[in-house]
Amino acid sequence: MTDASRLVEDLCAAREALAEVPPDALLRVLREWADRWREPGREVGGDDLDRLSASTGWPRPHLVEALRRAFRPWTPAAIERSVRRAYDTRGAVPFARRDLWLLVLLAGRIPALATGVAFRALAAGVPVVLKPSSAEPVFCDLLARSARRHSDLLGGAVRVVTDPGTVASLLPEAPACLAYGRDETVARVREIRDGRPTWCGGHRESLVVVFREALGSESGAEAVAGGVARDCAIYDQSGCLSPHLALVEEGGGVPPRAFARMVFAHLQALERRWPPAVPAVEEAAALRLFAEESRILAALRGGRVFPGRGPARPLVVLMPDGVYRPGPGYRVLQVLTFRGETDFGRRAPSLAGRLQGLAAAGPRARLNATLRGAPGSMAPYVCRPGRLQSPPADWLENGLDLTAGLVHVGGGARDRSRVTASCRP
Amino acid sequence: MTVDDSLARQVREVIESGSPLDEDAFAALCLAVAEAQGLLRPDAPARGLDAIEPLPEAAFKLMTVAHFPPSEAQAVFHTSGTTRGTPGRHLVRDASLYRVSVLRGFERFAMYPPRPGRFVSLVPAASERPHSSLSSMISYVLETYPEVPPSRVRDGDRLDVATIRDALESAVRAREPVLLLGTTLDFLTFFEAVGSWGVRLPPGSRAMHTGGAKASGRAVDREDLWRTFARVLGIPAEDVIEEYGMTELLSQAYDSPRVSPGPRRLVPVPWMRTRVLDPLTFHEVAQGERGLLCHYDLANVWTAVAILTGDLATRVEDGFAEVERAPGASPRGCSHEAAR
Repeated sequence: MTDASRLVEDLCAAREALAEVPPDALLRVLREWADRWREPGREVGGDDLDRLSASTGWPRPHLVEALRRAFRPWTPAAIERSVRRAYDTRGAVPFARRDLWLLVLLAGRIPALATGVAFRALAAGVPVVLKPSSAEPVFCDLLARSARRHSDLLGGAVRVVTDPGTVASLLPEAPACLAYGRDETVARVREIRDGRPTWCGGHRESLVVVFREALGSESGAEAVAGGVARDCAIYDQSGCLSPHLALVEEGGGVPPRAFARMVFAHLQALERRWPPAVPAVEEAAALRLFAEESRILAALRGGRVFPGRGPARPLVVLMPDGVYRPGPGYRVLQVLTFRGETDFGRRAPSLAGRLQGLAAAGPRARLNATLRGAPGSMAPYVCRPGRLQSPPADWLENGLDLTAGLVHVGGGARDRSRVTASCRP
Repeated sequence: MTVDDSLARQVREVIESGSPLDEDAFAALCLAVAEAQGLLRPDAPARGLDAIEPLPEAAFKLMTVAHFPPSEAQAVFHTSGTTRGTPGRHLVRDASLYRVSVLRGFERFAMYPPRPGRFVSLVPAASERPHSSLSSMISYVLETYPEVPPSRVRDGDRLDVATIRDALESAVRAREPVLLLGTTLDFLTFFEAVGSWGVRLPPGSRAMHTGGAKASGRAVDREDLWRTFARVLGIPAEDVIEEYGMTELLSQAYDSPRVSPGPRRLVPVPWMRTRVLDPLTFHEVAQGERGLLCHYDLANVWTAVAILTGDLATRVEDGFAEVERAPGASPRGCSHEAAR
């Protein structure tokens, strides 16, 4: 028997076990598990935190914040909502497919990606096999160990696979699959899956829009700037909910230039609170080239870069008449300005189908009016600045309701299943 | 202080002498040029090369870099990389300065004894590519050194493989060492085209390739390339010279094992210093570590004496090795130009 077939057997057994557990018992197990991670240092020891810090590149304070954010959405109420929703919608054939499990190909190094998938799947009674990204393989291992320590039920239902041969065996056969990664990677996964239930999360971006009403006072602008800076700084801008661009409306009490300077000051302060990872030399080179080119462009075109010389990060690039250029990450924010709703549509980059999150500061009515004129800026997740990287447990990542999708497949559907939600603000 | 003829004269004297400058003398002249160009850091803590704020190579794409009226440029070289569809431009005030820089460097690194008298260039002529700094460089060389007139071995963008073979076989019959010049991609194309054909060129023959496979979409293993030169042409690895140049520079670096023994590496000409910088701190990295290349080229007296490139490389002894384009830098290189 191969490792893959042994694992599949175990997963089917885990699915059987989940099918036998009453919803209240599942609720209790999940709540207790999430509770153990409220203080990450209690659930994993110092050595493991050091290992994870080395693997993610994030110094301890940044890492601990990342771990907190991975579990914070999974409050008792959120877990209850998820489980109840899954059970309520299972109808007459809640566990028609006793062989259902979910293969998850993870990307990047943000722990919240793995926890989000794990809780959603478990709430739907579906075991998960996590294939960590090569960039960060440690967290999944700690999560699975924690699940085993916590209960047999979770231990059997949260598995990790790293061996490429085993992954290659599982990929075409998994009853359901969720793949993150570059567009080419997820396209290849779709091809291999050949019509089996598969959800994909390719390249996505997020942006910030600040209406002039939010810049009426220094204190109001400071609060918004602080939120934008936090959204940028956490995870070193490596997530799909990390904003790389802020569109700031002219005409408020605080001009865009002053606002950009405020964001930079907050980013500087966050260097101490959430120290950044040290980028690889290639990433550092990309940062440096971006910074220097931005400084030249700003000098030529009436823009401004904070800081004007020297460090390559953190960096805020204000280009009143510029265009958005794909940024290097690691806390580099571009600020473009606009004048009114019509102008927003002209200035916002074309991100239709690629926008994951939109953080908006200002009146809701202004946002609605603006998005009506720029449907490409509709995002699955809309929030206030500072909340981009703290989505609620039931947010529709990639526009996908994973729990509903798994319930659908678990109820007997074997077709390609795409359970998506509309992206209305 | 502004750039003037007297400063340019000082630079020319250094280049024409061909002698290495000691660190202090180089830094003093480089700082004088940088000051005239407005490239000194306002908050510079030291007076060495650290006091100079290098100009990113992207500046040549985004603006006109010249400390003279652009209409007085004797040559305009275009980069092959095309960010936003616009090539970078290097305006050359004094083409004779480029010529002397090219010839002094070439003499030093490529014309070691026994001197070849026959040259075969795979590079398009300057008359065909007036905006190519490489074509101008090779044209200067071909005007100066060959004892036998070089054959025309290009038909537009296409290499005339039969003529190259004839020229090489003629050198074998005459028992005269030959020097082949071309981009790395040109040589790969030639080797593929000749199939099993091969000659043993007379001792002292050598090849100078440039551009690596930067952006040509091909991965070039240097050791494979050296083996192929030996197999097809009988040129040993020690006589396979690599030249590193940029449109934005008027000086070059060479990997020429007979001149710079030791580990293979690119060594700049004496009037250019190259430092490998940590991209974040701008401090020079330790030996063996990688960083961004920053060139301090005195011959750039009329444009920018210090240029921060988009090339990543490893610092090795008195030079650098393992050059590759940094992510985020626009693809370019002589091979890229030839591949287009």
